[in-house]
Amino acid sequence: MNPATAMYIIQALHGLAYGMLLFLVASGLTLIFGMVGILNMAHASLFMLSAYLCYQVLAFTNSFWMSLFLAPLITACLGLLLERFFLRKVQAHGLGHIAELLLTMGISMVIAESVKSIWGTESLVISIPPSLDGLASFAGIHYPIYRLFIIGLSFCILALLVTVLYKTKLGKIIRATASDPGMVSILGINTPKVFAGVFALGAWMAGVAGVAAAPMLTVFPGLADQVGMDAFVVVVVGGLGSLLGAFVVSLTLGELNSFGVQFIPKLAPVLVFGFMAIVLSLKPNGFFGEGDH
Amino acid sequence: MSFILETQDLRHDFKGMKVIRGVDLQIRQGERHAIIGPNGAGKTTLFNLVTGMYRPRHGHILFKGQDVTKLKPYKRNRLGMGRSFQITSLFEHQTVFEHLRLGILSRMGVRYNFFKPMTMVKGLTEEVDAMLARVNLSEYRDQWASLLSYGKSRALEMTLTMATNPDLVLLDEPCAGMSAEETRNAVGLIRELTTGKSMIIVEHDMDVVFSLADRVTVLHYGKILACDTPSEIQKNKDVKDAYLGHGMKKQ
Amino acid sequence: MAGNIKKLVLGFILLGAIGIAPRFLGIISLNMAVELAIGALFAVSLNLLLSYTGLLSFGHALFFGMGAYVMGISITYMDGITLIPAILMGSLAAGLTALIFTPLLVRVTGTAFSMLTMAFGQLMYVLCIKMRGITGGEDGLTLFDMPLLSVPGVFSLDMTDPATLYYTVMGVVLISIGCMWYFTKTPLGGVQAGIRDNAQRVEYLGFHVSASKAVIFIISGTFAGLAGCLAAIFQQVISVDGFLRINVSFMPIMAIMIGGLGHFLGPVIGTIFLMFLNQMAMRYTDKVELVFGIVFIMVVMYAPYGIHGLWVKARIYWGIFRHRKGALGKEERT
Ligand SMILES: Nc1ncnc2c1ncn2[C@@H]1O[C@H](COP(=O)(O)OP(=O)(O)OP(=O)(O)O)[C@@H](O)[C@H]1O
Ligand SMILES: [Mg+2]
Repeated sequence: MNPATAMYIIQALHGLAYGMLLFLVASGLTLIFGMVGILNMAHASLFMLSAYLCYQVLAFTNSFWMSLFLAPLITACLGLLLERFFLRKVQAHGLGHIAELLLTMGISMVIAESVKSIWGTESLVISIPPSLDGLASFAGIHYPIYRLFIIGLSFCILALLVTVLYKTKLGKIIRATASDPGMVSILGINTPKVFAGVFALGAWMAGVAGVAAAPMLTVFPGLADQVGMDAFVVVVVGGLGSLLGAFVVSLTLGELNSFGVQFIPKLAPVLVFGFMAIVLSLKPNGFFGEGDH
Repeated sequence: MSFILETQDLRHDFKGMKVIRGVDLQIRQGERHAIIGPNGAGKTTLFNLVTGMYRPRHGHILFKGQDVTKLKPYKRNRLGMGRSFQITSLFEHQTVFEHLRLGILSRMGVRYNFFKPMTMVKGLTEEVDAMLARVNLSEYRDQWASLLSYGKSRALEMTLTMATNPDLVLLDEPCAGMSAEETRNAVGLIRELTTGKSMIIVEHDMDVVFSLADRVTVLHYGKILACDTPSEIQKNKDVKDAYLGHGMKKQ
Repeated sequence: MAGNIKKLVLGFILLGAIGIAPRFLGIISLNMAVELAIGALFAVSLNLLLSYTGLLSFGHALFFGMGAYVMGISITYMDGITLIPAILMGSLAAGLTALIFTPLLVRVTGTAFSMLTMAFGQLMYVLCIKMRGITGGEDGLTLFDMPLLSVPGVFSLDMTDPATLYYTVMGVVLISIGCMWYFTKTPLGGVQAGIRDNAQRVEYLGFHVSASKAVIFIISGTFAGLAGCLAAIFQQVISVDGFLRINVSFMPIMAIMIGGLGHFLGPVIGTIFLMFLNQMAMRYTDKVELVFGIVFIMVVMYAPYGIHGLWVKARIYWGIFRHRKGALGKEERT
């Protein structure tokens, strides 16, 4: 194959891998927002925490698969605790979403600082598991297996999410709760439990993304800010609460990042925000947003 | 033209659900007009279209002979249109006095001034206090609106609407949920505040409707079923059917 | 009336204390007072949005940084410029930035507003790092020769002298806070409070909500820019991390929440508290930010109206205690 074409394909795959990771983080964020109207500022911190947990589990068990199983699970439990003992408590204050935004902001600060004191400020090296190491070759292109694994894993989770949301009774309840929580609770469904479940699900997906990202990105205390910023851009540009928007924009951002770094490395970070500024000047509530909450 | 408000073939839908299906309404200068209709008939939606909360999908709205279909709510208010809300819509953290002060400021046209403190705007405090006295709310002057009783907060809701001195007021169920005595007070208040003005009132309480209105429009599934004097409406067979539920069978 | 007189007397005492403080304070305390005043101004400017219009901005550093950078750049690249025009340029640039963003920002409310401001703040942060040629990138701008604050032939002040800096900053901050307080008492201030509680109703009373929001946004941005200018003069180094990072936006939010949301001077109390907390935390631990985070969470959870809210509550309980001697103590309302 023509080397230029191969380069384009490789860049596109890089973009896809990052975009899908971003989607795993952003989808939880936007799902929670759609349901409870809370934008969880600590979401990216959970993602980062899971990357660190991955490191810790690896250190104990030496098995990547074990950490892929355990770390997101712990993260999901933390998400559950967060919802139950913190977020639910401030909802009665009558400050609207300001209290929730601020609370999650405070929690993200605490997580960032705790991570620093437990694991230090140096970046950690997490090696790719041997079974996923190396390059895959197809049509004259050599591409890291691990990144293909990330793409595959993310699509599996996406499929799982879509099945749960659109094919199961639980999904129906979740979607109904998102559009009219009062009505659903009148019908005798325990909405706080549904909220908590969605919160845990979102945290779990962020956790999976954290483990998957750990060998690919650098694990350091600024990881949450770095990925979190992109995830926020995704959610805002895609339209707060829109899963489809999150998917489309995640992939767009992934590609923008990947090709931006390749062709205009100096402006790559600006590109993301420039993209956002342009979209929002045309549609202030994002691509698929429905007006204000 | 003697109509203060005219709608021409007004239509609106929510995600395809047709809520207003071609409404031609004509309100005369100085008349008290009631709109009645079963729950979900589209009365509030009609108010929202007339006052500018939504842009209608089709049709025109003429106010004092001027096409206002595309104007924002604040512009319609400045032309002399005021409305009250079915669900009380006040300012949580403000006193009764501060509510009316905002309305009077708007009436005086003092809107962007940030050089002069409100206490120094000539005549402002006096006007607010006069208005409070007129509607018997003086004793609650410095109380937070969120602490008022239901009847009083409805009265404030209506008074706030009237504070901007509109020529046409749209009242959305001003007496809903009131006790008999509260209703009597409210009707008195409406009479007091709307003398010499045009008014459209949505109300389920037929006593209120028939004691206040010069004409009544019956709205049913987004269409006007009848529009006549109260006594004719009472005799109208279609209206009886609609209220007794014959019309519901089509659903 | 008696309350007003009490407040007036208290104000004069405070003014007097600020006036004679340099006689008793050492240079470190003096610098702390300057830092505190600047932080308070920044927080009060944000409070105009948060408490008085109900808009939570996560990107107020944008204006703070804009003021500082434009002032710094004009000092660095324009020969012979004195401080007054430089400060004016900085503040006006911040106001202008607000003006540019308003058409977008007035169209959204709630969470979308917070996110949008945060995103614009980040955009400016990244841009400033990238535009190394003008802004010095990550190293920032160092103001080696601080120009004099002077009107030729009238007065001339040297900002490198701590006491002079102290008086100047105090003067500017007090006047600015006074201006903002005055603003809340004007008709437009009244409209803002209405917008905070119920924007739709305000619109139906004939006020142009978007335009009113735009005005307050510009005023808030301009004063934040002014705070940025003062901070730059004080620190003499303008860096992206010190002026544009997201933490810079979080500080005034914390100050407002701790001092008391909805109270004009809440942010001032909050800034003092944070300063104090910072000193205490530094004495006993090196995890200052952790302490801040935990305190902040506690405030949001258990004292959502901050110190002022606690004070009000305490007074209510005290009143109940005195008048009813515990008989009917349950009916408190906040
Ligand atoms: N914003 C909206 N989005 C979707 N549907 C709406 C909206 N507003 C009203 N509807 C629907 O339009 C129909 C008419 O509603 P509307 O509030 O106008 O009725 P109404 O005549 O005022 O009833 P009521 O007497 O109960 O106040 C209802 O079926 C309602 O569910
Ligand atoms: Mg209605």
